[in-house]
Amino acid sequence: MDNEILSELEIKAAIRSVEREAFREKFRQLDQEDTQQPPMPTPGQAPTRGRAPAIRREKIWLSSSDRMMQFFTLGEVIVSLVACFIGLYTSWNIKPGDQDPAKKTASDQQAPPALLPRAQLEPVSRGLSSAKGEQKEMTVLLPGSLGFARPGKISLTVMINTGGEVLTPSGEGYYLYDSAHRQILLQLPQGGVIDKLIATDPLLSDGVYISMRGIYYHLHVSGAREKLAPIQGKEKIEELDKIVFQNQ
Amino acid sequence: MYTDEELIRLLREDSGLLSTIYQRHKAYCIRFMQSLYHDQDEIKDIYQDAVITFYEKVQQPGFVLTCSIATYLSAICRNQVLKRISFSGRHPVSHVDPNGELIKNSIDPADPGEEIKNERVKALTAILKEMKMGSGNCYEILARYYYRGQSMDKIATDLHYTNADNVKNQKYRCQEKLKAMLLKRLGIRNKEVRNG
Repeated sequence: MDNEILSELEIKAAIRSVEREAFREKFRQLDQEDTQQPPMPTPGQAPTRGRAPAIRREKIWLSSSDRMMQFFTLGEVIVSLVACFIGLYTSWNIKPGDQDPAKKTASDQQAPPALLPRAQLEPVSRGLSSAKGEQKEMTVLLPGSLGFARPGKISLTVMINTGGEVLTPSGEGYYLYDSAHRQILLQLPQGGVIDKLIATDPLLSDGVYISMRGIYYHLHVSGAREKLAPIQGKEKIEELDKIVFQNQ
Repeated sequence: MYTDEELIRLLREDSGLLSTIYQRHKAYCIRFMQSLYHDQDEIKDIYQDAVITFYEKVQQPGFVLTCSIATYLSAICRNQVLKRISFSGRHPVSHVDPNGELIKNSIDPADPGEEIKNERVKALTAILKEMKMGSGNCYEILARYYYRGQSMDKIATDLHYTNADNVKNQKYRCQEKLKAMLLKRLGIRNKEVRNG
């Protein structure tokens, strides 16, 4: 080919070569960036965070055997622990009574309305008051959510009267459950005590259950004294057993 | 995230998007090639060439992709791998990708080894690299015209020339400059050869 002639094909080939080389260089840079990032975690290996090398050098090794901790700073660990502690403390110590009435919880708002207002309930209570009794706050055992935060603690006031009045033929006694005031009035035989107070859901929409001497009783929301009747259904008993077990 | 169609449309305007394509399909194509070939460095080179070839095809007027980008790239990679392992003679390279998708518009990319055919092209490449690094629009005009296949009107608009004729004149001047530089370079080299 004559040196004086510059063909378009030659220019094309040369430009193509330059452009391809530029692309390859760009791709090499991308590959290099990929290799500089921490490798993808393999099964059994804790995931790591992509950090600039300068930052990664500041990481501490809490334990040489614990690879999960190797990319967390001491600060991050402390902040996480404090946040967990505050969260747990708050969730376990909030009582319904502590809350602002204007900011009632969903459970308060969605609880079934009381069939018996306080004014009407008190006479019932007074009717039982001749018997000896005690009053105590009992925490409702709720279905467990193992490993996760539980809903706010729910407590009910349980007033237990023993003796006094003629009991049911079966001897279990009577109850009156006022969900609005979170009160349960119980008339039990002499020496009768509640082992557990249980609910199958945090809203107490199905009423509550009590356990006495290993026997479960269902307390519906009631406007008058109801007879305590032991639960017979096997499935329900197993469900309540499970809740008790989860709360142990 | 862009679809394949969007990427192809945008790629005609912005070559920077080729990096996105490169990264998006890298794992798939390399994994696929690894099942056929074990030279990791060469696999990477093949993939890079495949992406560049795809870019060059997209720049051609009338190019229509009838399959996905991943399929297209993997087909190019497959052809190149088969060529390299000398299977092409006994196992003709089919234009069907590993997923069974037919590649209507795929052709083998030009052999990258043939880019630099002779000394003149080598010299031209070196000059163009210098031009690219230096000031002026010469490299940009030539690259847009010869490599990306852009029209004079398009180049005029993008590079803020008043009209296509001005670009044409500028291109002519650039080619003359290129020729002069080439002759100078070749002349010096010839003189060195004679004296050596």
